[in-house]
Amino acid sequence: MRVLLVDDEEQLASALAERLCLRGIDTVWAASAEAALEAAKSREFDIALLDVKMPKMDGPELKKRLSKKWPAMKFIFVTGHGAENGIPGLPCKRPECDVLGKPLDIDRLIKKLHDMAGT
Amino acid sequence: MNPMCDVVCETGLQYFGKMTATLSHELKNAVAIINENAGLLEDYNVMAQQGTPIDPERLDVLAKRMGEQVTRADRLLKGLNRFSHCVDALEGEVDLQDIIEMVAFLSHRPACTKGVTIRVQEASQTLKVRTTPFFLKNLLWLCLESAMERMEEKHDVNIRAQKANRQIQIVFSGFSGKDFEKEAVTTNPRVEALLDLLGAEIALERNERKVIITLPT
Repeated sequence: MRVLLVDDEEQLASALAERLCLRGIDTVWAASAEAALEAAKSREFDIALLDVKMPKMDGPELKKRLSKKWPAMKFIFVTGHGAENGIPGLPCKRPECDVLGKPLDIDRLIKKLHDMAGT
Repeated sequence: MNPMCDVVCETGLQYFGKMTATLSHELKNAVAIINENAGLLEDYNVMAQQGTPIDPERLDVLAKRMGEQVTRADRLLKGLNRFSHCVDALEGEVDLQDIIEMVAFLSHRPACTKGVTIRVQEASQTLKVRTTPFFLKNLLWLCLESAMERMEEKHDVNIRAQKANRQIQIVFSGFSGKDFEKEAVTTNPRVEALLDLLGAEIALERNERKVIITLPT
């Protein structure tokens, strides 16, 4: 499984990516939407884990651009919003997209990734 | 508008909600970083128990990161607490520098999202006014928000308090954006309602791209 992890909190992205790699999930992380688009230019990912609020380009806009380039890509939004299941206006419908709240439970995240990837 | 709550009440509630949501979002980020670094420590511990050597420097990095995030979370909580207490007494004498610094602190994250940096300049003297501190903060935020919506990326906005011609003022400068002249800040009905409540006036200096709020003395 190949995962693209995007969060402007660099320490969060790097630590979570390392934890996913230790669990056998091939993870590339980026600290901005621009860096993520660059990483996804020539490489397809199965799932993108996207922070909702980021400077310049937010998670929903990044999802739109990644979907255009890679229509089969699935998404998990990661949010600091308290109501992870009811964020108004978030373009996210199961089963292609889901939402998880920060801080993440690694076991729940791994299960969600495997469920979405069908692995 | 809700008939039970006028425009000042509505804008005040929305401001309070927006700022507490912003600070709590950022707090969640700090907690999330601590969580992932603590999780990594656990992962390393499991690896060490299975015979994989762990670099002590790596452990040091993780411990330092967690310490930094605890400091960040504490700063955010202190700010959130101070902001919550600013409605304890609706009216009082305040130091304008404190008000401006608090507004800049609260607006940091929304400004970052827009690629804007807010810079507070030190007043040349202590300027105290009797006002409604919460609604003054609300007014300053609305000015910032309105300007940031139309600003170009990577810009600094400066805020300072000053005494000019015996008048106490708060000056915003550094606004960019093509339609600065459209007076979106000064004609915002919420801004107008707050100006009315505070007895303040707002003016636009087009050439210098400044917004000046004059407070009653």
